[in-house]
Amino acid sequence: MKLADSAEIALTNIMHQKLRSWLTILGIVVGVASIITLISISMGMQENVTKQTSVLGANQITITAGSQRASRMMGMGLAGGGGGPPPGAVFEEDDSETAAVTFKEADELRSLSGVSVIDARLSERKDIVYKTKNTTLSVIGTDPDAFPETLSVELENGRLLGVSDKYSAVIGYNVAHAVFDGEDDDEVDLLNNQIEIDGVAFKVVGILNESGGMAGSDNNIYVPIETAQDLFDEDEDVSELIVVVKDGYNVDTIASDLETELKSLHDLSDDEDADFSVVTATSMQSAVSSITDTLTLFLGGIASISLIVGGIGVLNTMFMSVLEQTKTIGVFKALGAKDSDIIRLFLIEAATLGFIGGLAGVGLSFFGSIVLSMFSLPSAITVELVAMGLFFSVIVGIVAGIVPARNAAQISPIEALRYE
Amino acid sequence: MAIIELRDVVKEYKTGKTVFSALRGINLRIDKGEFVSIMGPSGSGKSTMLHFLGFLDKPTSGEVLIEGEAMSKMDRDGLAFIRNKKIGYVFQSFNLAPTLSVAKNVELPLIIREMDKAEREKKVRDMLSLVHLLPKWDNVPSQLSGGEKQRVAIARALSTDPDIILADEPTGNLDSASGKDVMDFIYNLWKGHGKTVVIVTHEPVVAAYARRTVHIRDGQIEKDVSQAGRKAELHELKLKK
Repeated sequence: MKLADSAEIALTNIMHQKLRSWLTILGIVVGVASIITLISISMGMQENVTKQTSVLGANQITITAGSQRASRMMGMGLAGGGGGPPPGAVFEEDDSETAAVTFKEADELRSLSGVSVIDARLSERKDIVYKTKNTTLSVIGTDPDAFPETLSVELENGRLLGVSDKYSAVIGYNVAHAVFDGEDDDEVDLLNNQIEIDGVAFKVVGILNESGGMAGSDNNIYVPIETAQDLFDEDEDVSELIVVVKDGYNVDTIASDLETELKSLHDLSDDEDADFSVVTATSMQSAVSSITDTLTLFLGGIASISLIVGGIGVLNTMFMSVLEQTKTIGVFKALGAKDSDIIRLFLIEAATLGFIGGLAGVGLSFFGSIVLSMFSLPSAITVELVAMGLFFSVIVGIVAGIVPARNAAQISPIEALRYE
Repeated sequence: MAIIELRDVVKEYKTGKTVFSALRGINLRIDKGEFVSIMGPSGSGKSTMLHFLGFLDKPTSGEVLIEGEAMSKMDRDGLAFIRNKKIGYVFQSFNLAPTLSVAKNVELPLIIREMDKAEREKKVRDMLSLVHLLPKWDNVPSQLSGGEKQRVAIARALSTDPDIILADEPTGNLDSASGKDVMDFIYNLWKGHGKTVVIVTHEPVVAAYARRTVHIRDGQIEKDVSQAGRKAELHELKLKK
């Protein structure tokens, strides 16, 4: 029997059992739609996080006090901000005060080869007042010399901090354009105006361009490091070190050099856990993607269960179909159909049910993606995902069809013809 | 020359420890162009015998030969090939595929044979016009009367132009008028086209169409009677009236 003829007969059969066929297809539809939707959610999240973390400079290394695990959790949300030092102490009870990274250590690290500059920063959340408005923002003390190199954005207006500046501040894009920009006011121009940080007056000398991403500079206020040391009453421990790697040096190599050096400064041996964390843009991204990968696997696993249930539906339908058509199978055989002809008929029927279900499932998942976007849940349906959905639905159909089809082929023609 | 032959054919069915013998050593030789009827009471084994002639079943022991080729030497695909190529089978209960149209049912053995599509359609047209069912081309079997269904089944059996036509109680589910139509049709095929026809029946009226009648009882051949000569001619005269 030719393939085209087998397909025509199989399709006639599907059309003949419309209700049952549609119910079977529905099982596959739900399975495929849930797989595509759930995986697209985690892929959308990954895309989003990658966008967020891409504001971290590719040639920069961030060193913060506290253990790797704890500060990675901090780093997720507040890589540019940071709370009071040492941040790791919040999560790690056994962290002692020695866990801090100091300005002195920063000076030692500057001499490492491959290091261009190190910006030893202090950061704290402080009350900020502009005219009648007040809010709390991250204030970051930065080295005026190193500051330009650590920035991933350009100036929108004004200038960066100079060595002779004392009570000057450079503010992030949102600080200038959203935080102090009231609805009823016209665009507020903070440049050259005064803001108060913890009651101390600062002159805004520059406004940064938009960086985007939660780890960016948009919501920060930058002041000279020496001013910050006075203001925060802290001149030993840094909040974080931003290390800029020289061109031509491998960031990951320098990161491990820094780790080794800092460990020895902390009197830790190589096999001991570090009491600080070294984060590069790539290590950050791989940490994040290991989370989203797990999420993808988890959601995909759940969705696979529904596809398997859909497959069992096809299995059931195919067994019913074989049983119902036992007599017809006998007729086909009496007319000279080979076992392989019979197997092919039922496999085509099963694969078609799977394929139609997969197609409808893909359609439904696009609809689901639109609904999700209304709840601002990101989802990314890719061509690969659609192809995978269709492929698996056909495979599920075929796998569920194999046993019933083989059973059908092995019935003796006489027994089949006698079946009522 | 024997077109089909049964040699010491035995068929036993086992249910638990009891063994039921449906056929107990049948020897039968049917020559090309014969019109044979097989008669016997219910359970005598006549249908079982026809299954062997139609290569639908294998005997417990003994041999079935078609044009000298032994069934025991063929695999499942080989048997399927013989069924498609050499044999046209007409069943008592018509056995049409219920989901397929009349035309598709007639086309089915040709589809299985992988005949070219245009050729197939011409053949289906010829067959349906032969059994006067061209207007029912697109109907499904459930829309046909019993007599029409059996004519579709005959058209299907003839579509492959088989050498042997086997009919298992072809009039069993028909009223006497449709039954006569069907038998006249089969008789003319034998007479006009030189087919070998074997027909299983328990109705003497049907058996009377044949030139030879094999009587079966309890799985054995009881009588094998040839109705040659004058009796047959008279018979033909009677049909022409």
